[in-house]
Amino acid sequence: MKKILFILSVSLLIWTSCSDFLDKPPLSSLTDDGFWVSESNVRLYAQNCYTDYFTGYGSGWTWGLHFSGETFNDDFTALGAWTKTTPTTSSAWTFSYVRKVNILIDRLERVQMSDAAKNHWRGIGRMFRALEYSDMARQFGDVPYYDKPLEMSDSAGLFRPRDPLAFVVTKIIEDFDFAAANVRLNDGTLQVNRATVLGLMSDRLLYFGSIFKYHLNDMAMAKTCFEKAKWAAGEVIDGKAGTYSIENNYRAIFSSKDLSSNKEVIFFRQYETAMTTHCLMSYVNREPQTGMSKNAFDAYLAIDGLPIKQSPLYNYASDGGKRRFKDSYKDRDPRLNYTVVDSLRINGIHSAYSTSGICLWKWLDASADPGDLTSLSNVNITDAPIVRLGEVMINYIEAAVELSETGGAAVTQADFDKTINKLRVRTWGGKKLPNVTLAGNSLSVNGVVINDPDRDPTVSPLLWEVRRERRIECMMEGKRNKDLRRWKKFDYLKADKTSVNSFANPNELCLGAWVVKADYPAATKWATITTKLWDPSNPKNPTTAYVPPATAGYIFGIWSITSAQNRDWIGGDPYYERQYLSPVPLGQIKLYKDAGVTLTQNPGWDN
Amino acid sequence: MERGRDFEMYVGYMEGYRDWDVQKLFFSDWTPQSTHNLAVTGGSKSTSYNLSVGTLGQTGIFKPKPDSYDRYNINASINSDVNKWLSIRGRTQLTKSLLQTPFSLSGGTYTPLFTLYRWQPSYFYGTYKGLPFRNPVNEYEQAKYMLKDIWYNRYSLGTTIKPVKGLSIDVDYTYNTNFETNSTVGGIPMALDIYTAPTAANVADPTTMYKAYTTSYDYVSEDLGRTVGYVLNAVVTYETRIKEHYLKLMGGSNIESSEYKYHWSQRKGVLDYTHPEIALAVGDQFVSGSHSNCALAGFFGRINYIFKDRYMLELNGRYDGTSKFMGDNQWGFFPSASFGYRISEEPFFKPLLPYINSLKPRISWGRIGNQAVPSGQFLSSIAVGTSSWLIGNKTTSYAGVPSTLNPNLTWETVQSLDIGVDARLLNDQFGLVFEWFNRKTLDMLGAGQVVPSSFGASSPMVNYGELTTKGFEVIVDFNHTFDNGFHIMLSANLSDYLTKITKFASASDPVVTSNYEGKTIGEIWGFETDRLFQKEDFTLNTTTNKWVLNPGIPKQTKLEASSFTYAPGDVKYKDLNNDSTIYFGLNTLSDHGDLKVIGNEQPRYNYGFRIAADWKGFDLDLFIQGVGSRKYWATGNTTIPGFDQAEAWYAHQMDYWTEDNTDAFYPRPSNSAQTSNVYNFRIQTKYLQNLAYARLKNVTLGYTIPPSLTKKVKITKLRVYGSGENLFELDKLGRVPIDPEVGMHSSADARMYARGYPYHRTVSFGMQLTF
Repeated sequence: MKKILFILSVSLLIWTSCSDFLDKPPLSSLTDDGFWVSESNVRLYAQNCYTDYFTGYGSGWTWGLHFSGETFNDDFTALGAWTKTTPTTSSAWTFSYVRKVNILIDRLERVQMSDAAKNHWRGIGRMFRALEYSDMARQFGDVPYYDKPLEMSDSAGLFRPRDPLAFVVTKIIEDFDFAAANVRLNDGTLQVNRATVLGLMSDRLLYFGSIFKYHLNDMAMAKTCFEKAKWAAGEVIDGKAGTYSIENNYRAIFSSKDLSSNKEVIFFRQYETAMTTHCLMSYVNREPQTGMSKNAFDAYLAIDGLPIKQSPLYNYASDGGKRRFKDSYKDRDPRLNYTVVDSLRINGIHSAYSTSGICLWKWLDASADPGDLTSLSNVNITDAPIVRLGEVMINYIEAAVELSETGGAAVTQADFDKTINKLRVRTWGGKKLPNVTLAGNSLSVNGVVINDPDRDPTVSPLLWEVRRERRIECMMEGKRNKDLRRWKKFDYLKADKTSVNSFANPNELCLGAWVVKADYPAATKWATITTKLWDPSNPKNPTTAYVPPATAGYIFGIWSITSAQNRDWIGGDPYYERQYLSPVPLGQIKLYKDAGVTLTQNPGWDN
Repeated sequence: MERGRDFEMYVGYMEGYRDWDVQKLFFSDWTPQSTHNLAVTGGSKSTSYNLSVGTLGQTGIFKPKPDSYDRYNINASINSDVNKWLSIRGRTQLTKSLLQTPFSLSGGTYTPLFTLYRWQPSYFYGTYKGLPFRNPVNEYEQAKYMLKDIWYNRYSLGTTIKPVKGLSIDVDYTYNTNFETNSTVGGIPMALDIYTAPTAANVADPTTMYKAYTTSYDYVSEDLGRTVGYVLNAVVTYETRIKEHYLKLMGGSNIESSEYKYHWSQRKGVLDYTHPEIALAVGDQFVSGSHSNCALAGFFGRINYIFKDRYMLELNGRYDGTSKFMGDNQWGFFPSASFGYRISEEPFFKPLLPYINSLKPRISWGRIGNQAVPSGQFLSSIAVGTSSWLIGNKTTSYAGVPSTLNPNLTWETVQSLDIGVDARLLNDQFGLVFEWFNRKTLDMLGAGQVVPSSFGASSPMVNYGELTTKGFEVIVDFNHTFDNGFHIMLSANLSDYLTKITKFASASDPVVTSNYEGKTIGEIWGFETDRLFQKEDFTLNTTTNKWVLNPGIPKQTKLEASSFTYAPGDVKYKDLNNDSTIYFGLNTLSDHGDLKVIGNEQPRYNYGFRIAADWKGFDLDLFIQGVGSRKYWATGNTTIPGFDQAEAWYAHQMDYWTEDNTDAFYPRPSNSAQTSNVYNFRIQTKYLQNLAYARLKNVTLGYTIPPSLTKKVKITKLRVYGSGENLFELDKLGRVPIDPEVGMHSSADARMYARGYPYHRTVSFGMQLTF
């Protein structure tokens, strides 16, 4: 009997311990059901979106948008490639970020907060959604629009056709409007505040305004976008969302270890040793770099406020531009001096050379020891501006001029006074640019109407100068390619005057600084070093070997024949025209097709 | 190194002239290894015990900083019959191991081992005026050790109760703990830093390049992972025999539970690298941790029935529960049955017995459960991580996107059908085992249906899909002792299987490389290589300076990129679909252009062969193992010349196309720009690796001193032996000098293929003593 009791008790022990023995909820992760209880948790979730949109200078070896983050433009003497084939899959066609922000917008409603707090977070969520859809629509144009997280069972949602761009942009405007009205003026250090929202809003809506105007000929939408962009930028400029002012030391905005006290910077990304570091400064420190094109270098005004080919001070005609670097570097827009190194750096002579000889130091911390470890490799710690007043002003004035050319409010002298003329407080060697005066459809300085001989005839003289101001103010900050895209000016990327892909007749995009060989007696190896020179009076024959000019020439930054086709452009040719929009991946089109739904392709791409 | 003779430097670049024997600098040809085992067994009539200790010591082959592995184990067990119906047992086991490997001062992915294989032999492996150049050998010399220390303890207590004849109750409880600690010590390496282009000052005096070239690894970190668990088994068995009927009934339960806790901490700013302790570091500090647990419970029953020692039937049932799933889905029922027929016991078989000593056909069918999924799949979880967004120069935390979930997730079932036969022939000299099986994985745990990107997440794991594996195994052996005492044993085995996806939530026209219904696991899709293009295939356009394919030759333009256009010396693929264009179409089943299945990367036709013989105290054992067929598309510079053009081009890659060597094996040198499956090296038949091999796994020769001699010194047995492992292999890799088993790709970087720890050959000598 005793034995049997013992056996029974053993088996009973086993059975009774089994009831909730198998319920093991995860111990070191949170659950969606339990997480949404406090404002601080909402903030924790929102924090995960910051690096998606505010990349700054990137991190580690990954580039942000500045400098090499975008080299396929007319600022660099660099190759670039048009997309050749329609891909089957594409990491750009992803809605995971849409889902991420829609979950934020959806779940924050579960959290008990004051109305003001809730509206602030709704604003933050909707700003992120507007940023995400701006990114999607910039690449693809029409995209399916979702305002809440999708369920697996929602097949109508999963296979939603692309919504027209006008619809998507209307939603983007609604989101920005809400955010601009409700996001806190100050939400703590390096947390998105209202001025940040307004600055980003002006940038994105200026983009879509141009798209509606130049690509879609939808003047009503264009006008709405320009108005919103101008309004948002105006709020910042007028100090409605905090006090900011232009920083005289332009270079300090991009090369300081701490931007928290910079009066021009509205929002920035912080970098610190052993936590988050970047590699941007190293590439303008002791590394060879892809140089600035002659085209960009020549776009900077002379210090008298006139384009170099118009300026009596610069006197371009005296030598047809064939002048030594130091002579073309002096008496220019101070931003040139803040952006470009004060001497030439030539491959074969200098180790930290530039492909065009023209080197950049915009991001190089002038106070740092260039041999300091944080100045090298991928451990740079200079902070990156995300939104700054200078850029917001540029957004404002372009929107204002576009608006006046699109049937909206006329642009006034006051608009110039609070933007471009504010930017001209910056000095170099005690000199600064003169203020501009609105003169009908042009600008004038000191009574002289600006009339750039190099102006694209399809662009008004006024808009031409505003676009120049934008290019100069935001030089190599990753905006130029997007600007050319929205202006429908990809033809500016063409790098050869004759378009036979021979580089027999390169334009200013392939060329760098003018070099007189005799200035470099030590470098007797001109024939063997990799830097090639080109003299327009002695053009190269594409079928014969390269023969360097005897005495002087422009540095030939792009000369490779086999890669030349990358920088071609043929207007009206569908291969080139389709480049304004990215292809929708074929695999997705197929998935939709299997479900009986059509996912349309962008024009020119394979279906 | 002497400047001007061994190297030269200029502003912006340097050149090395001296060739080094890299293999010799980095690897030792031989390293020692030792094992010792001592066991004592004994006891009385009712109690027995067993004590054993063992040690293993291995030193690795890195010459600059030898890695090492040491293991110790201690076992003690006791078994005692308390009385007629009760016996008790206990056992403890301790295993401790210590692995020492040098820390990689170039990061976890690009270890010195990787870097070593990357560069040409004229790399800067030497010193200048006593100062080392930055190189992988020197980097290991400067490295500190990482210590991985594992303690495994197991304590078991058990009892067997036999209350009445035929009935037996076994209860066993095992408690186990596993502690794994890792101590990682970084460092601040110093060298002549050739990674930065020399400046004029460096050219004037190269010693100015000497510096601490990274501070990223200036830290010490410690981590501890602790797994604690127990297993409780209780089984009741009843056994009886009534005349020709044998019956065994068994029922019981099995419970398992385990918990894992992990903690990691790191501190920067080590004050003194001879005392690398967290307490002696002063910089920033970081911590992280994780915690998880899981449990299993099961009840089972079994009936064995044998009639006349000929008909054998077994029925099984299991009811298993797991914490991996939720609610009712936690439990699953898994039955199985088998039947064997010892036909050689039948009276009618008697005439055959002299030839066929025993013959047993058998069949079995059964299901078992699989719950191998990460925990918590049934809950939408939110991970917490560290963001690279800094606030006040401190990192911030973030909460991640809630995971997609499937509350209905349950057990995956593996169902097998086995049919086999066992036979022994001709006085038990020959043996034959043959088995055929069909294994089906039902309600497969895997990725859900393919959803469009618009969903914004991958679809949650589901129980859907079916895998079917069919295969066979044959084992034959031969045993014979000759009259002179020479004994020989030969055995050989061969097995093979092939797995197909028989049901899957695939897209209607799936991408060929994805999983789809009808796919054979391991299949490789690629082009068929035709030959290398020659100059005659092209005409040079003198205006654009580009090679244009002559009419009639299928165009490969769609495989080109802005940086690569096909020219003489490049690979010409076959136009399998005759559309005059080489392309992969949509890369899907219905439109895969010129792609076809060119091989299978599963090891097929695994075989082994063994010979054992002994004669007059000598014994010989030889074992060969191999794989009959296995194809693999390997990327990385070892197999693809120019995969990363900056890296070394190896000696075996020198037979490349030039105008004077048009019949070359490799195409004209080109740059794959570190991208797999492009240009000249699209996945194709010609450069597919053949990983079939036959390896001499082990050969042992021993001699036992005649016991008549050793008995005098009270030694029962004294045997000395020598053995070799992996001494020799035959492979079909051709010119590529790698081992067929060096491992597959690392997901971190395709260039790492075949750049890992080299394959070992081991030679050992030993002595066995029994008192």
